[in-house]
Amino acid sequence: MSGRTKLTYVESKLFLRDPTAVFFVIALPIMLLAIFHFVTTKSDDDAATKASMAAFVPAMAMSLCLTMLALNLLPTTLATYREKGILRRMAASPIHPGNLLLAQLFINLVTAAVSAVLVLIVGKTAFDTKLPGDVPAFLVSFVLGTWALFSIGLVIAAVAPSSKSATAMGLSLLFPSLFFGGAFLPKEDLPETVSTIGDYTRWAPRSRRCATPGRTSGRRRCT
Amino acid sequence: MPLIEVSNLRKEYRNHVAVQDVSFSVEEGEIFGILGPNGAGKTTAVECIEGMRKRDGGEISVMGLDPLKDKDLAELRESIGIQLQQSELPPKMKVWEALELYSTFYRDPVDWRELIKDWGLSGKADTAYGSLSGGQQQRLSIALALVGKPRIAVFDELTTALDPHARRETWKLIEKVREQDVTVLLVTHFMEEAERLCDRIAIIESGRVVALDTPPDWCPGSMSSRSSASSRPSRWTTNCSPRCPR
Repeated sequence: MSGRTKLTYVESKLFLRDPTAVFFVIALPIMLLAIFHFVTTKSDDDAATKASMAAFVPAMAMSLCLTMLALNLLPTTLATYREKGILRRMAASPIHPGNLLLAQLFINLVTAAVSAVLVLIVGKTAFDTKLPGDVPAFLVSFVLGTWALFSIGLVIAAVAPSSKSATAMGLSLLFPSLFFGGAFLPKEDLPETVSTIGDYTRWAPRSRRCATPGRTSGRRRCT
Repeated sequence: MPLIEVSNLRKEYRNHVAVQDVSFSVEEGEIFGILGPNGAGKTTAVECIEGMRKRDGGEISVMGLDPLKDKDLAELRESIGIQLQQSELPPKMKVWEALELYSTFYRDPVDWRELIKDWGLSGKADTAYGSLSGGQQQRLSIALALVGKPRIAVFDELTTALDPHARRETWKLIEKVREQDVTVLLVTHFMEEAERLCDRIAIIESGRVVALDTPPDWCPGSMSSRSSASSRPSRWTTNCSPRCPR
């Protein structure tokens, strides 16, 4: 196995050994699906609201996981690697430490994709959520949204002087971006001012529920 | 021809000159010590030699390679084993994983399983880096520096954080490295360590070489078997921080 392949393999193993990462990527989205499924089935909302929730919940679970990875886990890991001299140690070997950053980015992107697929499949089979109606539009917005969020994560990793400040910077962007983006409440239910701010904080994961229950393509993510 | 040749090395940081003027050469097969108080510029000097920092002036030749040239540096990385003063591994990385991983980085590595045995890490092969003791982490960092079958090994303040027992154990390990025909560049601020291990030393103070010699056998009751090439004032041994003998 070449040095770069081996590095990606070992970094993946290290990633899976971290219980927080596995929790945010696998357990949290599934828990959200389950909780919202429970809340929705118990409530006496009309069928239209229930249907729109079924479209909104997977988008929210996916956004939350993606934002966690991009704004929290990735920058903290990279800043720790720099702070502890792990990158420097690698610079003393024939392999450039940039390979370690690429390996981490790759692992996080794969994890984001796995988590998204998991949300769609588990949501559909276990909790009767909606699959994206317009698949190409979903894919394009997922890729662009992921790209935008990870770009911000990498900027944090580059400028944060320590792992603690990377976590602080990541979280201070994460929660507002979730809030303004409509991950906690659908965009349509937010006050107009908040919703307008959300239109400008373009990195925010945007979740919109469909207005008409019949239209399954109502769930969209913008960047 | 010396394996490492440094002449008039100079390195400045933003607001101070770390290395003013350092010249010395290291012959193949010796343990060469760089001794001096904290902040003297020892680490900066060896990092310029390793190519971890870019020098501002002077000449450096390591095995005929110039660490400032990218092509030479790539070649140098293959044959120089570096233990950095402050560097760690990911805390959850296991001992065998680290050695196996780093062995894939080199063209012609040694068998990492042998290194685990040689450096007394067999019982800890499956232990994560974060759960090792200071001495074990140190042994792993030496083993990692040797995984690429280097001709030169650079050890920077290898024993500073260790207790006296672990320090003596590490000294034996460094002698073992030399027995494998590896030239050793050893940075330390312990006179005793330099005296015990080194064939020759350069004493650096405020970025300049103030003495360059064979460590003398001046210490009363010293365990060193090396013969004295010159005599120095005895105050060197009584206060262990080296002072310029001029």
